[in-house]
Order: sequence, then C-alpha cells, then structure tokens
Amino acid sequence: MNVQNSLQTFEETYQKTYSDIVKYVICNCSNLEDVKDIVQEVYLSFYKRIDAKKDIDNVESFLIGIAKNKVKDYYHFRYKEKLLSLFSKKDEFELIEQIPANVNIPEIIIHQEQMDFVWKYLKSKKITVARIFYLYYQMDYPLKKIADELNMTESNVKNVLYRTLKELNRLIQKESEGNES
Amino acid sequence: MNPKELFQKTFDKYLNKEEIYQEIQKKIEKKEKRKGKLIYLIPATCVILLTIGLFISAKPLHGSFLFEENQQEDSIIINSLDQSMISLRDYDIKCVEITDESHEQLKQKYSFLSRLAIPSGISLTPHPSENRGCAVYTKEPGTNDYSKLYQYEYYYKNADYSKSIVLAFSKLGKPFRDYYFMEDATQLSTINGNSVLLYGSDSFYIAQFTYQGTFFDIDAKGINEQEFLKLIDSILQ
Repeated sequence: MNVQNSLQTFEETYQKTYSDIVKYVICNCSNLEDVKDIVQEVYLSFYKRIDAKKDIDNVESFLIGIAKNKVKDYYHFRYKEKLLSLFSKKDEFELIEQIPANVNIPEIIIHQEQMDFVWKYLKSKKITVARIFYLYYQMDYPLKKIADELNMTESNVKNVLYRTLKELNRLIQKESEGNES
Repeated sequence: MNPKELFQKTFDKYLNKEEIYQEIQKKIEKKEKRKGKLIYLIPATCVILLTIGLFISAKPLHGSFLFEENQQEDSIIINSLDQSMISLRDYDIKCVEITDESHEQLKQKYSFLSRLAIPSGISLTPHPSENRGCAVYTKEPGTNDYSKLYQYEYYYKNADYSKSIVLAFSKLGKPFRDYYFMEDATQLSTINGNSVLLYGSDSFYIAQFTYQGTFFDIDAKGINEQEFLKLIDSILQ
C-alpha cells in the first residue's frame, strides 16, 4: 500500500471511528486534558500499522485495543482504576432527599455562552463528571445507559448532572455579575 | 442557550475532530520526511558501526556488561516491542490492597523486596494513602469464591506518574497480565547467570523470568534501560 492509499484508508477509518474512540478514551482516562493526546496516539499507532501493510481483521476492535493500551500506557496501572464514588454515602442519601420530584434537568437554563469557562470548569472536576456530561450531552445517552457504562446507579448519575449544572449556573451568574460591576 | 447546546459546542470546540486530524496528519508527514532522510543515513551509519564493531571485537571483553564488580558474563538482548501488536485479556480476579502490615510480612517472606534498586524519585507511596499494590485472587475451581491467592503486585511510581514500575510475582505460575504482545522471535538475556526475557521500546520495558521458584513479570515506563537492568539485577542476587 503506498502512502496515498494508506492515508485514504486512514482518513476513512478515522471519520468512521472517531466518536467511539473519543468516547472510550473519556470513559477510561483520568484527566480530561489527556484525551486529545491519547486519541492522537491511538490513530498514529493505527497509521503505523496500515503503513506497514499489516492486516487487521476487525478495525474497530483493533482501535479500541490500541486505545486501551494507550490509556494504560498513560497511567500505567494493570487493572482498572476503582471508580471512586463522587460523594460519601451520607451525601448520596442527602442528595436523593433534596432533589425536588418535579425537577427536569433540561429546564435548567444556562443563558451564557461561555465555552472556555465550561471547559475549565469540567477539567477542574473529577473525571467522572466529564464522562457523564459527555455521554449525556454529546452522545445523547439516556441516564440508564450512562449508569451501566460507568458502573454507577441511575440516581447517582442524575445527582451529578443536577448538582453540577446548579453549581455551574451559579458560577456563571457570579462571573457575569462580576463582569458587569 | 440550553445546556445541551452549550456542552455540545464545548466538546466540539475542545475535542475538535478536524483539529485532531490535522495534528495527526502533521505528525505523519514529519514521520514520512524522516523516513526519507534515513534512507540516505542508514548505509553511512552501517559502515561506521561496522568499523567500530570490528575494532572492538579485536579486543576480548571481560566481566559484566553491566557492573564492574560482577564476575559473571551478562548478555543483554532487549527484544523490540511493537505496542500496536497487543492482544488483550480479561481475567476474572479480585484485588486486595496490600496494607502496611501485609507489606511487612511480605518483606520477610520475599527478601528481594528489601533490596530492590528502584530509581530515585520513584517509590511505593509518593502520595499519602496511595495504593502500594495488591494481592490478586482467583476463584477456586467450581466455586464463586475468590479465595485462591495467585500473585502479588507492587506499584512504584513518581509524584506525577510519568515514571512507573509494576512488579508482579507468583509462586504458582506466570503472573497475569491483561495485555499480551505478539512477537515473531524472542531471544533470552542472561543476568547473573539467570535467563531473562527482556522487551523494550520508547522508555517502556518488560522483563519476565523465574528465580528461586518465583515467577516474575515486571514492566516499567519512563525509566532508562540502565535503571531497568539494575532493578532486575537487584532481584537476581
């Protein structure tokens, strides 16, 4: 396969698999900052393989395999990190009590378009928050599917979304009040 | 703007598909240019290396390849490791953290734990309450109890996790690894009279060997070859 053919195969595969690879990396890395680097490393390894004319039976599985290895390489532990509970058991119980029954998450409106602020905020939180937000808003996963994917309960996922959005809304309002004064 | 639009725009901006693709393409182009230059450099380099090799081979080498004080002849061959040829495995295991108490007991039982040549800056617990390692249990056949102790693993790392060593050992058999690499041909090294299988690429090294009835599997990231070999040597005393 010459360089042009390799690049063409590479581009086609990249377009087709990008979303799944980013999702995998976000759900398995420890830091939102690392996602871009790890994704690049995955596809560079893939390019190296096709450029060396080595056959690949199942491209999607192969890419996920590389992604798994690259994530491990970054953090270098053999077994999956324990997904730490975001809140203590006491907090979890209190949150379930406090959320009003009629709260609908999409109705918490954020008026400001502050992507930089949102990204910095997400990076400052535990990686589980970024995972939940990515799966909920970017991948349109329902709460149950997110809970299964991240080995959490559905109520935990909803708690994280609700609590984080509330805090983000408060911070954005605080910042815009600060800008106005 | 509702949250969905805001977060979608944020993720699209900071994990931009096209931007990442452009970055990858730049790296591929750089690699292709370097490949072109190598085609001219390799023959010249080969001639130089051949000349040096002929000169050195005229004088017999004595003593260890690694350390002057070691009287045995060591022979080091680091098999290359193509990290893209990885096969993944999932084992049904349970990990139980090694506590302070169990760590002290293990040091009594496995004397090498007290003499390991760990590179400076790396330790078992660079941060308070860090997990130093775990005892790995498998199920007893025919049961659902993870009661069969199979291996121990120790995790050494530096403060920012850029360097790490995983030391796995077992009396029962080769330690589990959750990824395996396929290589066409491998050659054994000899360190202090012991056969050791060594792999390495890009500051990532793996060693597998048996010593005094214990099976070892060690992998290290971010340390250099000399540091890695010194670590292996410290076990094989």
